[in-house]
Amino acid sequence: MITACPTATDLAAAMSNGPSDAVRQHIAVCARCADEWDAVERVVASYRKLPWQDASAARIEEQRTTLLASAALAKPVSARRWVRWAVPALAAAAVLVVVAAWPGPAMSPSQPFHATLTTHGEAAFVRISSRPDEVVMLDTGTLSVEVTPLARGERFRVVTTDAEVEVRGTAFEITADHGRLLAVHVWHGRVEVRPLAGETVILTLGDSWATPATTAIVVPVSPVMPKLSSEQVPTTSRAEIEPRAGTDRVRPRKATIPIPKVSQPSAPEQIVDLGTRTYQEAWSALRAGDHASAARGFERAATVAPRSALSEDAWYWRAVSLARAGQPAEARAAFTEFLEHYRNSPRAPQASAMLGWLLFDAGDLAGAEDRFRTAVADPAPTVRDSAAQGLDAIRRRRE
Amino acid sequence: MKGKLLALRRVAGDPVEMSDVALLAACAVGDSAALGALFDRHRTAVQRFLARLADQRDTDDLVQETFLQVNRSADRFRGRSSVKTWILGIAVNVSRRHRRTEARRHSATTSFVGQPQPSPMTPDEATRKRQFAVHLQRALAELPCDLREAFVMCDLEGVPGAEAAAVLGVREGTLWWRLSEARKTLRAALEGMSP
Repeated sequence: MITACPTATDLAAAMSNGPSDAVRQHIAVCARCADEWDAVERVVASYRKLPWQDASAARIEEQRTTLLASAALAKPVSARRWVRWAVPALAAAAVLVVVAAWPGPAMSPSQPFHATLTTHGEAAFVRISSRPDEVVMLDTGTLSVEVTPLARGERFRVVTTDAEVEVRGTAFEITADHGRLLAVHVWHGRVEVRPLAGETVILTLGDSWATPATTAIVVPVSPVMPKLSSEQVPTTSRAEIEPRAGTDRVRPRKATIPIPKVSQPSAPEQIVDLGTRTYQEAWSALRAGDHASAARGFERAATVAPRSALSEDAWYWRAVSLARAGQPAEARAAFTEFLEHYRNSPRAPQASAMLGWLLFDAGDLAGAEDRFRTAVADPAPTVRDSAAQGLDAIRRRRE
Repeated sequence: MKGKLLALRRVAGDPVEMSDVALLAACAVGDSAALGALFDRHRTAVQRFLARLADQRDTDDLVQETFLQVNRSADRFRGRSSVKTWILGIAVNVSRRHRRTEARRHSATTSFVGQPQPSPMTPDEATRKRQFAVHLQRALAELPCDLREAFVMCDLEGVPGAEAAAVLGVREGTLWWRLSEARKTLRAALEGMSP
């Protein structure tokens, strides 16, 4: 017995959600609905097979960088959002206290932050990034920081414009004033205080550290490249990885980067804004093919905001710009310096592959081989392929 | 804090470490690295979705605008759909705005300028397949926008009907009707053609 045909909308829903028993039974005996069903399935299948134009790897990288730069410019974190975040963050912290008492992982992988932050009075701070390289930027005020034990490869830091405090599973109190680190007190655990203008100090239970009274406020006069631990690798095409071939045979040398001396400090936000603007201008120059200007711009951006997360990218793109500008010796030096300072950077394998090609072009096959070998096991196929091609090229050259 | 800092590096490690919802929550408090991770995870789907929904020449810009909007709206995610569907919903709105802007710029008669036109049939297999693809694209492009959005979202991206209805701001029944109309129109347009 043939039941009444389902309505067009019922049939549409059945095609998307899967047919009910009634619809299935109906289709089995109703030629018209069965034809309709098959025809629509054929149409949908044809469309699913239809090719679509994806962006190039270089364009994706550009999109990503521009997106993040624009996002940071367009959306400063508002106080209201911090308030909204505070409740779930505290709730998460409470859960962590319970979880930490149990055997097994102390933290759910979905929790973005290790640290619970408590302010004493008014404090101006911002979370720069989440796990696994969690960074809090403290501008002014006092923060109590409770950090749950970190997993291998994870880091937690509080940064000011003139210092960096790094811990592994501890509780401490930190005070800053307009970006300057004033004091650190450790309640438990171990804390490393790394002032830009001074030696690293290790603090343990009950220890305190305060800015020496004689310390002048200085903007660092040399570029500071904080070591970072990000692991993931960007995707880049072989064409982008391989810089222009050069004939210069100068071996990589240590870069000397001229840094303008600044006698008076700028406010942290001014420094960062200036760095951001300069970075954007450098990117515009790079897109416009003015590679030499881009290289200078990226260098300026990294220099004016040496402690910002921007500086790593700026140093990387400076090296790329130099390579594209046809300055292989400078590019080799820039990549070498980048890799020394940011050996754990997500861009390190890509930089290694690029440096490998530059060294190859300069005839330094042993140096190139070292660089390609560090990149050949990379998870990103474009980096891996580039390195593999480089090793092949070296083998052929030696034959 | 008044200063703005750029966290341009990717979230390290395997991206599956953090759920989409956790990344979105981090975005809502200004974590650029989380935005980067969301971009890495969903860019391909958004690019493909917009390439099918809009003029392919503008897709790259629309993708970027979509993720900027994701960042701006991260704190408004209410969990009524998956994060991916929610992002696709934003892409629909971005695409609609773009269409309106484009419509103001160009007259209706020039709207198909530059789009591939079907060429005369030849027995050559490759040509025939190309022609079929062009015909498919053209039929999809000629669908009314609301039908095209429903078709691309549900049939091509596999978004469940209830979620699609929620992000498109229509009742589920309306969505099924649109889907039915879209399929019927496309079927009629492709009648007698084969790859």
